[in-house]
Amino acid sequence: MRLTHVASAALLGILSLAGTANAQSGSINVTANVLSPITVASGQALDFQNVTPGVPKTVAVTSGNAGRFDISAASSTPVSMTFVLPTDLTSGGNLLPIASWSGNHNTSNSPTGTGFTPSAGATGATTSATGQLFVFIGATVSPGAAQATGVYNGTVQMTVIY
Amino acid sequence: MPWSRILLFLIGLAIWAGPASAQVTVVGVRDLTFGNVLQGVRSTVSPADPVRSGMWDITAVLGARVRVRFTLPNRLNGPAGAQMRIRFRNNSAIAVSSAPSGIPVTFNPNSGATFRLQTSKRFFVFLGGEVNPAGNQAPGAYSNIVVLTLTVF
Repeated sequence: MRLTHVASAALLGILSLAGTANAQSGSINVTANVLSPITVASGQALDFQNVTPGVPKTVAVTSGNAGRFDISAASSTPVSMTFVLPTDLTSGGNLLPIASWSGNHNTSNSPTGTGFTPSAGATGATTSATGQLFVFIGATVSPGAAQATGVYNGTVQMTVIY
Repeated sequence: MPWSRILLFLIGLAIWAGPASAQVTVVGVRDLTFGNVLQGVRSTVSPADPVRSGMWDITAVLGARVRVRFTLPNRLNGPAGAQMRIRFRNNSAIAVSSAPSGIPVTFNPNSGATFRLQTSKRFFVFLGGEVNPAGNQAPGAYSNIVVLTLTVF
């Protein structure tokens, strides 16, 4: 069974002249929702400050030393957040293991919103009526008893999409 | 030709045309939906998209030639009078018979197309498109209407 495409303009003309055409119409809507772009700013670095060899140290999301990302997007819109997290902080060739991660997102600049685990995969959140979202990151480092002294650092990368 | 014969002919024509008119239906069954689009980022919906393409369910007359024409907008209307460009490419429409062996036919919705309904009186038309929001496009919901007109010969 086929639907044959008649391409001939001449044929169309002949058919139109026949005068037996009858027409029916039906409509549909076309819709789109324009969203403003998402921007992610590094609000504050996650800072463990001084760490003692052999003694784990935790920076909670509620700590003043927690990391923070500031997100600006469309108002009251769901977004999805994913993270690339280091397994160690580094100082030259020395490694300082990171044992765990914690997170909290809120529509205001306060770590009293919804807790989540950044290492667990994509996390959903909704922006505020003004399009803002704040994400706080904490973690625990586990220095060895013979941890080499020095300044250790790493990078946390967050990706936000609609 | 005597007037009585002409009158008889016209009556016959009217009777012949009547049932065909009653059998023709054009029903819009699915909106063309772009969903979320970003400022400055072009967004395209394929006519083959099973969720977002527009769709009509059409029934005409078996064996008839039919012409599909669209009334297409070139703008979507948004908040506070904002408008967003929309366009339809030469491969943005597909027609396919309801028959199991129906082969999709791609055509240009800007010019329409004519088909012969060889083995099934029912067929479907799908429509895609492309929106191109400006970099400063006002956020919000945009919409417009597409009309499909089917002419049966």
